[in-house]
Amino acid sequence: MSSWMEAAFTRTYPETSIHGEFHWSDRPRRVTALFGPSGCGKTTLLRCLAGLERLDDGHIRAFGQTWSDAAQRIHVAPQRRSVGFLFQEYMLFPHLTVYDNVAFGAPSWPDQRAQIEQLLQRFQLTGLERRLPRQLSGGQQQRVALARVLAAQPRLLCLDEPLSALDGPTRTELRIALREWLHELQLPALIVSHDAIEVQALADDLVVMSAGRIHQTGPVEQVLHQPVDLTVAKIVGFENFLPVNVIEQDSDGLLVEHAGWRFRGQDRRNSTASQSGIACIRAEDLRLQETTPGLPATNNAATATILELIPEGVMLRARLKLASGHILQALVPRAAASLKTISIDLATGAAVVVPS
Amino acid sequence: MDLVALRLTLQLAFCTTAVLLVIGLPLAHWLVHSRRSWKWVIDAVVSLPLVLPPTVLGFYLLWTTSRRSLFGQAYESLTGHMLPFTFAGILLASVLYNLPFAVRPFVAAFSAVDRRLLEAAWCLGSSRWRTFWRVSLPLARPGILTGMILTFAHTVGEFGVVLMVGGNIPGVTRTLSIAIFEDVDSLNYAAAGQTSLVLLAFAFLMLALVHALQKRMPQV
Repeated sequence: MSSWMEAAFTRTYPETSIHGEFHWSDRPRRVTALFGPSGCGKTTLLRCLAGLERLDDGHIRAFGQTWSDAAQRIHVAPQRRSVGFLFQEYMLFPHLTVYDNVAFGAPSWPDQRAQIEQLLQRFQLTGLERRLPRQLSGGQQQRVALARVLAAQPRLLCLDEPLSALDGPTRTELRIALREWLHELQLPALIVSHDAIEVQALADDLVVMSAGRIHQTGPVEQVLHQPVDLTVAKIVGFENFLPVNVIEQDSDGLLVEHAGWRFRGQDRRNSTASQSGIACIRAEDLRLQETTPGLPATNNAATATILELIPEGVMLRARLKLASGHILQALVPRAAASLKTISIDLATGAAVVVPS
Repeated sequence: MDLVALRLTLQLAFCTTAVLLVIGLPLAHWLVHSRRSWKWVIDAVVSLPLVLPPTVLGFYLLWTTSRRSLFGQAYESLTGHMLPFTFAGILLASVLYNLPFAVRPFVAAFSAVDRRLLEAAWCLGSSRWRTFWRVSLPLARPGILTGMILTFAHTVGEFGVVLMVGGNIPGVTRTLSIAIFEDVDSLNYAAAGQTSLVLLAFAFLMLALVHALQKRMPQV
């Protein structure tokens, strides 16, 4: 299949610049999440694709057309891109009813009314047609916004933090619904998010961004568990970073050592020549065990002291101090509160060694 | 009360408001959405009558529409008469003098419409023209009405520029304000008082209308 989206561009602002680079050549119906901290340029990338921002450099080609080309001064207007853009705060037209909002961008075909009614039904909006947006709940507003976008029959969906304007329970409910709708729609979709739970639930692929640049692209699980560098590891939720020396490397990965504590890790270093790296470990992958006072920990465990235990949902977040002085965080069951002298162990394959 | 002057005043106020609606709306929309670096010049020109003495504007208008100017000559050859001391003359003066009273509220009204609503419309395939009619204009309506009321009220009370360009010709250029001036000049205080009271009540009514409109601004 030929490439459905090919883009390499820059949008410059006085204090920062945003670089985007995509090349999607197959499986166009996948859902891709742009993931990263607030202000890293995710929304700007989406706005560039939708034609709401002009490029300062580079190009965007999609569905066999050039949408933007800075050198050739080409900028196809948003009206002619068929990009369904769901704004963070939905941007429903406040003076129009639910029905008129949904019908706003619908092609004026003879069966327009039937199509809109079908959409209203699908998004559980039947009976609310004559209401104004301000008379709707957050969840209803989101459904109207999505129905409005789909009524215009887009070729690509761009969802800018679709769930961020909602409160806790509605957010969970709508996340599940959105997952179903995206699956049914069979449209390529880009979702901006800074919530790992949202990304795991909704997306097939992940694009990790930081400070205006794309750091890593790949299937969600792969990116979440195999970050290429420290920046990505921090963004995707790793909380512990230990400097390590490589003892051994084989086809299964690395055997590394930190102040006498040896453990295995996946190798994500650029160069195998380097004998050092940083081991990234998630808090939930550290296991605590009681040790007998006076006895040294085994080779693949390290002794540590508990500095603090902070409740976190049904778990406890433990702040631990290693003999090397490094502080680690572990998510442990409530029962761990009774532990006195502890050793730390790692789940197999949990450590990812990135370049230092 | 001079009913001929009343009729002429209302006629002038209606025409000025109508002309400014046609010119002012696109101008205000352009001022809000244009990214041209020189748009401040246009903005300044529009606002000039706020600080310019009416007599100065009147003087320049007389100068540019007189027989000696190219514009004055062209107008006379087209219509057969000169622009000063006619209804068209005071209408032109009134439109120019009221430009900021219409355009500034229009600008405020268009600026208050969230740009992302327009972007949402564009992404739904709506042309800029359709977006203007279906999104910008309805959402800016209270501000536009405010601008129209202010223009109307301000035209009713206009004096200096109308006197400079139109003089005091009954039935042609003598508006209520000029009638009051003449009544006082000829020591006819009763007539001046009566007309002044009508204008005072009118001005108060207009302000009440503006207040009511502002309270009805759409909740977004």
